[in-house]
Amino acid sequence: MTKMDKTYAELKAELDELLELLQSEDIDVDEAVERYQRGTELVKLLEAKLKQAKNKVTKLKVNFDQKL
Amino acid sequence: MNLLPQLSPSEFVTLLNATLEFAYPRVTITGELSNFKVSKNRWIYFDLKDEEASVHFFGTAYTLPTPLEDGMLLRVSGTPRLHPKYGFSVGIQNIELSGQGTIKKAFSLLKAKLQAEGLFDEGRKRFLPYPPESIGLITSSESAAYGDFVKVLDARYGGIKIELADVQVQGEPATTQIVKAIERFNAAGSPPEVLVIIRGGGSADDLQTFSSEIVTRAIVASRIPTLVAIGHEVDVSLSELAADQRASTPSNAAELLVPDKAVIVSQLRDVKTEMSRLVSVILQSERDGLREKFEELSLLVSDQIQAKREWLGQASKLLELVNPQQVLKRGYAVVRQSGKVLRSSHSVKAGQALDITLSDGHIGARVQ
Repeated sequence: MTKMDKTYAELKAELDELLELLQSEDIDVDEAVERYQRGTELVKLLEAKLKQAKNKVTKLKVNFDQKL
Repeated sequence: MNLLPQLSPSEFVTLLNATLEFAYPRVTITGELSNFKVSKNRWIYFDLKDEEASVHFFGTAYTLPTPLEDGMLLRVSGTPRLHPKYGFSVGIQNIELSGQGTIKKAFSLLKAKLQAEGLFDEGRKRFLPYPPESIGLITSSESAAYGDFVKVLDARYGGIKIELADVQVQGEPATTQIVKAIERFNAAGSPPEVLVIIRGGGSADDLQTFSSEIVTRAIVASRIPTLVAIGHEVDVSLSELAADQRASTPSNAAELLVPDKAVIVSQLRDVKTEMSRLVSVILQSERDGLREKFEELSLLVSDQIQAKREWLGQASKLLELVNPQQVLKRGYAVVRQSGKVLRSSHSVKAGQALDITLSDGHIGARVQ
C-alpha cells in the first residue's frame, strides 16, 4: 500500500502512549530513562518516514466518455 | 412533363430524413426558450426562437441540466427529423444554458429546489479523514488545477495513493464524465477514502457542469466523502454547496486535506523536548526524594542526640544532688573511727580518736 500507512500509525501510537506514561507520576527512574531513549528513537523514525514518503498517482484506465 | 420525383407522403418523409441524417446528423441551435412543457415527468417539449423564427424541440426530461423557464437562452444540440405524423422537430441530445442571465436564473431555481430538499444542510456533511491514505481525484490531467493540487500535496505530505479519473471539466461531455467517475469510485472494491473534484476558474458557461442537477446529486449520493474546489468564482457552485468539504482553490484543497509535514516534524521535536523535560522532572523528583530522606534521617539522628543530651543533663543534675561533697557543703560531716565510717553513736567508746571530714577539710577529735 503506502509507505506511510500502518507502520507510521503504529509508531505514532507508541509515542503517544510513551508520552502519557512519562506524564503520569507512576514511573521509576530506570524505566523513565529507558522510555525516553525509546522515545527519541521513535521521533527519529517518524521524521524519517515523513521525509521519505512520496505520493503516487495512478491514472484510471477507464473511458469516461460514454453515455450514462 | 413533370421532372420532379413523384413521392408519397411517407416516401417524402423517409427521403427527407435520410437527407437530414446525411447532411445534418447533428445540429446545435442557440435561442430563447419558449413554450417549455414537461409531460408525465418524462418528456419535454419546447421551442427555441429568435426574432424571426422558431424551431421545435422534443426530448426526454433526462436531458434537462436544471429546471428551465421560458425566456432563458439555451444552446441545444440534437438531430433534426421530420416525424411522419407530428411534423418537424429536433430530437434533443444535449441542453446547455447560454449567457449570464440564463445561467444565473437557472442557478437560482435549481439552488432553491435542492436547498428545499435539504441537500446542502450542514448536518449532512461528513468529516474527511485527516490525512487520507487514498484519494480519488476527478479532474482534467491537463489542467493547471491538477498540477497545482499535486504540487502542493507533494510539498506537504507523502505516502498517499492517488487514483486519477481524467475527465473533461467543462463543455458537453463533462457532466457525464464527472458523474461516471464519481460512480466508478463508489463502486470500487476498495474505494478511496475521499473524492477530490477540482478545476480552475472560468466563465459562468465553463462552470455550468458544477451547478448542474445531475452532478450535484451525484456528489450528494456519493458514499465516499467529497471535497470540491472550483477555482475563484464569485458565486459558489452547487457542487461545492453539496460537497462535504469545500475549498476555494485546488491548492487550498491540498492544504485542507493533509497536514504540513514540516509542522509535524516541528511537533515531533517538541515532543522530544517535552519527554526530555519530563525525565528531568522525574530525576529531579528522585533527587528531591532522596534529599528529603537524608534530611529526615538527619533530623531523627539529631533528635536522638538531643534527647540523649537532655537525659545526660538530667542525670548530671541528679548526680550532683547526691554528690557527697554537696551534702558536706550543707553542713553534714563524715565521721570515721579507725578508718571506718561511723553511722551510729553507739559504735564509739570514750577516748577513741575520731576523724571528722567536713566540706573543706579534716578535724581530729576525741570522744568524750
